[in-house]
This record gives sequence, structure tokens and C-alpha cells, in this order.
Amino acid sequence: MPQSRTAQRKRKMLAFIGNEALFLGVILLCFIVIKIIPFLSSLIYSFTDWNGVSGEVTFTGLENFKSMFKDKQFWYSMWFTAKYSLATLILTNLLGFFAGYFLTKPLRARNLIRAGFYLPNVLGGLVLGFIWRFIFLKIIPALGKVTGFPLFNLVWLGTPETAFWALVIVHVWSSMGFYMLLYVAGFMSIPGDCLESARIDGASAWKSLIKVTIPLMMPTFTRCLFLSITTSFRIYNLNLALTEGGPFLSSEAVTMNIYRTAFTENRMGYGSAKSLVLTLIVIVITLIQVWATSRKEVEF
Amino acid sequence: MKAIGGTLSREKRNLKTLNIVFLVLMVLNLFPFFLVLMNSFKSSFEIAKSILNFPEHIGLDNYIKAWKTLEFPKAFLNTLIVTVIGNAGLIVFGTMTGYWITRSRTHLFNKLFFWLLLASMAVPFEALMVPMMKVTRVAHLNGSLWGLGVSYWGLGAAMVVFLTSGAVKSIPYELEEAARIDGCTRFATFWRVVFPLLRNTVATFTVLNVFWLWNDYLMPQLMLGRTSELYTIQLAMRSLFLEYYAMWDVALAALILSLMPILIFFFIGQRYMVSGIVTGAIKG
Repeated sequence: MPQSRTAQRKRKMLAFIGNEALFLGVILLCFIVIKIIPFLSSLIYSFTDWNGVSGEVTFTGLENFKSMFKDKQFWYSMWFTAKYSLATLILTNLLGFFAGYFLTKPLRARNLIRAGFYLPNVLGGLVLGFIWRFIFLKIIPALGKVTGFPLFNLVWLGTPETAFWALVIVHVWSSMGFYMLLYVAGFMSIPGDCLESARIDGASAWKSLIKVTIPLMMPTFTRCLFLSITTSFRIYNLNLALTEGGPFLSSEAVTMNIYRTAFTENRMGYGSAKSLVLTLIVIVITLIQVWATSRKEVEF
Repeated sequence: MKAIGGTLSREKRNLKTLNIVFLVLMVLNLFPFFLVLMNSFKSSFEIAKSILNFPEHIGLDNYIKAWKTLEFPKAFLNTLIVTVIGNAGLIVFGTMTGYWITRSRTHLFNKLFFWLLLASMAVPFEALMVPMMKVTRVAHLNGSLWGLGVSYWGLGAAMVVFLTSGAVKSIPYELEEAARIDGCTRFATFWRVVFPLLRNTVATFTVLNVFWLWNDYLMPQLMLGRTSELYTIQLAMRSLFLEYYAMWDVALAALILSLMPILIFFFIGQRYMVSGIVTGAIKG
């Protein structure tokens, strides 16, 4: 009966569409409203002089991108953010890796220690910044007076150089525990017989770490470096609470620069263009990183 | 035999030393909390005079002042509402999407949607925030706790769908087929059979999302920043710090107050979180 077969197919199709709407509907709608439309409109706005308030929007072509090239503060903050990302990437991953390495061993207080290292990670960037502002502005000078130790006598938030390192220190303090957990997971995913056979072949602990463990952990490195780059390039809360970009905008990371352009100076079009450039830069950097580290991944 | 015994005990001793070294490092790592807590009981004068000493007496004056300035109960409630709405939606609708998108992957539209979700994770929030605020204003989401919560459904969807999809793949399809033969609809099958099996994945991303929503500053600032009635804890903290600039007594007490809920949640969810991140990382 061909007729009833088409009717059946039609009913099936309707049921499928119904289920699509039921299961995907809400998230699809939210995703379109919150991500797709803003992304497309940010593409459009970046070619206009929209100020964010008025209905008047004129297309200015590539004007925003041209003035961006001459915008010294923007490129300064981009460079600042890149340096910041590199410094935090190296320190968080190095510390996280070694903490993870030792905390996979059967230590008695292992879970407590892991939780203790992870704890600073649950603080929001804003609170984090306020806590450390207290430490840098009050505690460290007091310690400097008592001990006379030169590192404590620096004005940490007062000069461009030290403000940079202050941000790095706080970032490393708060996120090291998270990377430690990812590396713990990485160490646990390595099959025991690989290490066993390395040991039987007479490899020292150091040698089997370099020759067996690290190559097998490349997927973890890929993931950790990716997360580290994407999060540190987006620093805002910590920046706002700890240094507010000071002294004299010398510690202004790129998100703060975009925020200031778009919402304080009311240049939405220009701000959109800047964030578009930031996105492209982050995507290119992460693509290179994922390509470079995943090339080194080995099968086991 | 003797040699093996010797290496074993040496290894044991090494582990013991390592244990102590790491315990000391952990205590040092947590020292900033202690310094803030200790000074939060002192008066401004006492902080200026003897910042490194224990407080002369434990008074709650600072806390009372901070409680009032933050309008703590209101800020707490606002943050709670946003966190609950955001997470409820991500749990209910996010897992449904993750399930359906995995089970009917062959349809072009679903495949496209999945890839769009994945790709969207590469675009930083900051790149979208400018036009997003225009869209949310048009959609009447701005200036309401409900609107902010719903906005997180769109922002958090990618991660939730991605993790759910991985978990659904490991559930044998036969289980669902059995339920379908018994006459369950797809919807009922999902909630009765699949969702209970997603428990661990749900716990993992929910713990992470609770911290994210609770601590978020930029989204609330953009969407609720104009109405102080709706301030979340983070917004209230920021305005307190602007008001009490360099008056550390109240500010430190406010810091401890604002940390309380999140620390309590950490101690309750700690085991889940640590193991959740570890297993989530292996699967993801």
C-alpha cells in the first residue's frame, strides 16, 4: 500500500520535527540570541561608527581598522596581554605539572593537599583581586619593614614592571590548582604497564618521566595549554580589581581596553572592531598551539 | 629479599617526607586567606598599627557594617536566584540538547548545530559582549535576574552539550530501545532511562557552572549594573570597594562574608569537584 507508506513516512517526519523542537528548541533559541546574532552583528558593527546609544549608524568601511593601527594604547595592551599569557602559561603549567606528578603518588594526605591547592581557584576574579590588593598594599610593606627583604620593599602595584608581575603571581596562585588536577588526570590515564616495562628496562624515575610519561601525556598538554591561553587572554576581573589598569594604563589588558572603548568612550563600532581583531588573534594562536602540540601526540 | 625490603622502606620514607613537604606548601599557599581573616576583626587603627599580629579582641563591628553596606541578604538572594535559574536551564535543556544531538547526529542540521556550538567555544565572551547587550536589551533580558539567568543558558550551552554528548555515547543504545518497545516516547525515554545515567556528568558540569555563575562579574555588571536593587554579591563588593576605598576594616570583613557561601559549597562539593574535574578531563 504505497499511500499508507507515504502517510507513515509523513507521520514519522512530523514526529521527528516535533522531537527536534522539544529537545533542541530552548537551547537553540538561546544560542542564537546570545551567540549567533551578537557574533554576526559584531561583524557588521565593526564597519560602522555606532556609539551604542543613538539609532544613527553610518558605515565607515575600514575606518575602524585603520585607526586601530595607529592606536598605540590598544597595541600596548595587546602586547601586555600576550606577555602576561606567556608568563602565566609557563608558570601555571610547570607548577601544575610537578604538583600533579607528586600528588599522584600514594601520599597519606593526598586528597586534602589536592583540595587545598585547588581552593584558591573557586574565588571569583574580583574577590581574588581585592584580597591580593590588601596583601600587596598592606601586608608586603609591613613585612618589608620587619624583615628588610628587598622583594618586600618594592611598591608592587605602583610601577608598570611590578604591577605586571603582581597580576601574574595572583593568576598563578589562583589557577595552578586547576591545572594540577588536569595533570593528575593525565598521569592517571597512563597505562601502568608502560611505566612498568620502562622500569624493567632499567630506566630511572627521571628518565621514564621524560621518555615515557611526557610523550604519553601530550593530549593533556594540548588541553592545558589551550585552556591556559584562552583564559589568560581574556583576563578582566582580576585586572579590574587588582590594578584597574594602573599605573597610567600600563597594566591595561586588552579586554579592559575594549571595555573602555565600547562602554566608557561609547565607541561601540570601534570596540567591536577591536574585539574582532582580538578573537582572530586568539584563534590563530590557539590553532598554532593545538597543531604544534597534537602533532607530538603518540598512540598507546 | 633484604634489598627489596630496603628499597621499600626507603620509598616509604620518601613518601612520608613528600607528604610533609606538600602539607607545608599547602598551608603557605592558603596563608593569604588567613591574613585576610585575621585582619578582618581589627579596627582600621589596629590594622595600621599592627597588621601582622593577632587581633587584640575578636569583635564583629566590621562584619555588621559590611553586612549592612553590602545589603548582604538581598545580594545573596539575587546571586542565588541567578545561579539557580542558570543552572536549572543548563541541566534540563542542555542535557536534552546534548542527548538529541548525539542520537540523531546523521541529520545535517544537528551536525551543523553541534559544530557551531563547538566553534563558539573559541570565540571569547569579550568579543561578543558589545552587541550582545543590544540583543538582550531588545529581548527584554536586561535589568532582570531572570533575564541574566536565561542568558547563561546560551553562554554555557556549548560546554554542557559537549560533555553530555560524550557521556551519551558511552550509554548502550539497547537500553533505550527496550524502553521504546515498552511504549515510552523519546521524551520519556530520555528522562527515565538516559538522564539517571548522566548523573556524574551533570554533577561535574553543575559544580563548575555554580562557581562560574556565582563568581561572574562582567555579565551581571553589563545586564544589572544600572539597578542597585538587583546587585549580586560581586557587584555589591565592587561598589563597596569603590565607596570604602582604602578603609580595609569593613572591606576585609566584606571579603570574608562574600567568600562564606562559596567556601561552604566548596567543602560540600569538594570531593565531587576534584574527582569530577579529573574524570571530566579524561573523558573530554
